[in-house]
Amino acid sequence: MAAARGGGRGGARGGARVRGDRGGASGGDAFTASLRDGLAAALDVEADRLDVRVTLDGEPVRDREVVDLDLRTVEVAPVVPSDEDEHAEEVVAEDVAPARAPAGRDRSRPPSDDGDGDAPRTVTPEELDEEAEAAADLLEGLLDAMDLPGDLRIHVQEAHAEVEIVGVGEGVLIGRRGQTLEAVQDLVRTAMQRRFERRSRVLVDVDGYRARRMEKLYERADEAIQEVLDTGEPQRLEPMDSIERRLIHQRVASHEGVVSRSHGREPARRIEIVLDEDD
Amino acid sequence: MRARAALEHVVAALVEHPADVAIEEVEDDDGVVLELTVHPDDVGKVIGKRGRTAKALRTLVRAAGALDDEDVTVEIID
Repeated sequence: MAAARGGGRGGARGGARVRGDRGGASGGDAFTASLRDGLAAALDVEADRLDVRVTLDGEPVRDREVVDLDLRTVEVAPVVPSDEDEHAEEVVAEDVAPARAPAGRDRSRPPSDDGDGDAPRTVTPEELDEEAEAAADLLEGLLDAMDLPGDLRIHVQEAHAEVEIVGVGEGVLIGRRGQTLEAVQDLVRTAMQRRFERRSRVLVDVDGYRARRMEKLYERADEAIQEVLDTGEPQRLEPMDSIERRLIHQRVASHEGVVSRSHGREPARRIEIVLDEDD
Repeated sequence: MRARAALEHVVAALVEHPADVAIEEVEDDDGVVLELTVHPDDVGKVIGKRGRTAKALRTLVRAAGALDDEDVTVEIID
């Protein structure tokens, strides 16, 4: 299919499948548990009478990031209904997101490992391939429209795919502090979500810019982790997009004694690293 | 004009009705305004939550305009 495309690019479109390590395949139900606790308190019923199923366009959601990205509705159905009807309550996700376990209730929600950390493992490699190809097509068309050089490389990983534009030069698509790249990322994500009607998992990079940024973010996260362990003081990281946050959550989860959570709204949403009180 | 071509291409991928996308170039004192019209059902899609998509479109179009030394902005007509 690359040959059908004009402009003489496509040659560099490899399907390099780089398998990431399969870190912690936990389902990420802390998010659902915290929603259930918050709703149980709000509805004044026992939490165990509620079976919370969070869906987005019919797809199960176990990850707060998804709700943040796609602010639609959350459906909640009681597990012990008095009759057959569903009584599904629709709650706007934004109102639910801060639902923390009410004070005094000792159902501590384990915030690492899952929560808004790990991605739910619901995406197949074929779906990632399909989305990455579509994103590459969109970006290729953009390069053509802007009369820019460059090739596209696709790296499909475990839970996301990277589409990198290489050789575009001069930072045209990166911009000051990466803001043009962020715009391109937003547009690709929005277009892919419209097309596939599921959360987008494509990360766009230009000439390794994001990879370099990710390295810096890892470095700062490591410093913050050490600071928390040394001083016990919570540390906040700079705003990041959802994929960056997930990678940082995973990094924090791989350390004993610290946990991470996200606060604030996109695009100013930030990770906070705190001591793990369960230790 | 590269800014216009970029806008056309990306907007077509964002909307449900690409055939209804129209862009008009209007020169003003500061540069070029690309007036974007889409199908009424698609207006929300090109604006996005809290204007995020519109902002991204403007950022991209500004970068594309800069390639031609032009100051290009986008106005979404609704």
